[in-house]
Amino acid sequence: MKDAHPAGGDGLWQAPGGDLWRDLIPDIDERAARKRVDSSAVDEEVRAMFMDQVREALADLRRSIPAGDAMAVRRVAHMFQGTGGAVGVPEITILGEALSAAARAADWGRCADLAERLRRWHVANGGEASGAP
Amino acid sequence: MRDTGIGISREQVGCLFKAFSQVDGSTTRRQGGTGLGLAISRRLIELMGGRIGVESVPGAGSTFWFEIPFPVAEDQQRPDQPDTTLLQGVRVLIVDDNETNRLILDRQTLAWGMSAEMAADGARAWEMLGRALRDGCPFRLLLTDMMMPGMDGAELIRRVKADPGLAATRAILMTSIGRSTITDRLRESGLAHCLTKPVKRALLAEIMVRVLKELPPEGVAPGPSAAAMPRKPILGARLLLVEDNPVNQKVTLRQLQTLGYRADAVCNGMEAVVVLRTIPYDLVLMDCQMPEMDGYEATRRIRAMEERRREQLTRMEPDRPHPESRRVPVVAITAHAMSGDRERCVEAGMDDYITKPVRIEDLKDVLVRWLGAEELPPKETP
Repeated sequence: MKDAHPAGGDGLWQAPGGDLWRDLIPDIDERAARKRVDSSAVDEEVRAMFMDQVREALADLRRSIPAGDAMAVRRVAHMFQGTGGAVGVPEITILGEALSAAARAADWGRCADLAERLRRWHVANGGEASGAP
Repeated sequence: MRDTGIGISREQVGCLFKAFSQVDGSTTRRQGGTGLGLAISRRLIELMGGRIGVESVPGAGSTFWFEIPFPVAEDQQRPDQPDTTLLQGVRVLIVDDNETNRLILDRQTLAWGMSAEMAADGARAWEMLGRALRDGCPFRLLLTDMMMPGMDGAELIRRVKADPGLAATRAILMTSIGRSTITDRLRESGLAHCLTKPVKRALLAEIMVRVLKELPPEGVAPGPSAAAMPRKPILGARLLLVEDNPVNQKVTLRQLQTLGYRADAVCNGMEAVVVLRTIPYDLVLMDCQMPEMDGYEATRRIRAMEERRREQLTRMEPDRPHPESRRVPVVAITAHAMSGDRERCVEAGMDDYITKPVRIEDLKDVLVRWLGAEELPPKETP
């Protein structure tokens, strides 16, 4: 299978493979391409900040998804939507959109699937391995 | 605050201002504390519209800094302090070959809400005066040092006063040599006010207020209002970025820096409203969805504040245009590109919008649209 866009932010990011999220969002590559921008402003410092945000966001999702707290899930999704593209990983923006839609529809199974893919992406990029949301 | 302690690595700085975080989070750490001090400091400073940060080198030490804009309480001015309301938004050109002096004057004028630009010598100042005039936003005040290499302050003032186009620019000369034939002549001929250095803050404000209250010379029409001006503050413009997400904030600030713009950042609409009371920014980049106060509400409040200021100034001086009461362009940064979003932005008083993720080309286009394009320095003097 073709790899997802392997990097962003001028080679700062790694994605372990296209199957990470393409089965959940079949048109993710096409949608992400529309949101890809020059990410030369992204360096190690920004990368570290974003990784911290994702870590905190995943911790929030571990609480809010089982609790069925749609507002909290959508708040986290908003962060992914607004920031993924800016740091050079527009796939994260698309995942944020999907997460927001799933929370709005109270589809907690899909929310958990999407959160798990985000967790795997985080780990693939050096984030700490923690339990599935 | 500077120390020569163990320092903090770049990775550790990222979590330093978060609650319950310690640089050494291990159970065997030597330093105590809950990890709340810096988080509380940050919260307090941000609530006051300020910023906090740290610069650190592991093994060498750290420098912690913060900055907070402080407006002057309108009703509680000390009787010996001049009323600096008149200085708000006034464009001043500061000319001094000493960098420290320029910095001090920049901060002082900023505290009074003035819009200052700097020149390190007379020749550069002359060039800037000419360009500002051609751009339709001439400086109302020229604050110049006397002793400078090349063209000195007296010569600069003579040139300004000899140019009919610059007749409305008022000059203040700062000299450390006390009374001299040159300064006496300038003062007696009414070409400039003279101040002896070190210039006391209150005296400087008082002189500037007095100078601005003088009517323009006979036959010289006052400058056009800012609304009518083709404003081109270009790369010298001061921008305010309002964005709650620190990652987006950092990325956008870097994009602005790449484009050559200077910008400050605040974390929500409330903070934006607070700093805009004091600092006359040339343009605001406003995220729409933010905690505490979103971009729509913040823009509504900014427009209401501008209206109040305009009414107040018009009441005080009905016969004079008030460029200082201008409307600051607000450009929305929105995550949505759907129809209806633009209308919502316009309804709130915003002037333009760009979508997330912010493309540097879009950013450049919108800034050129509202601030004008950079021009090469003129080859000829005015």
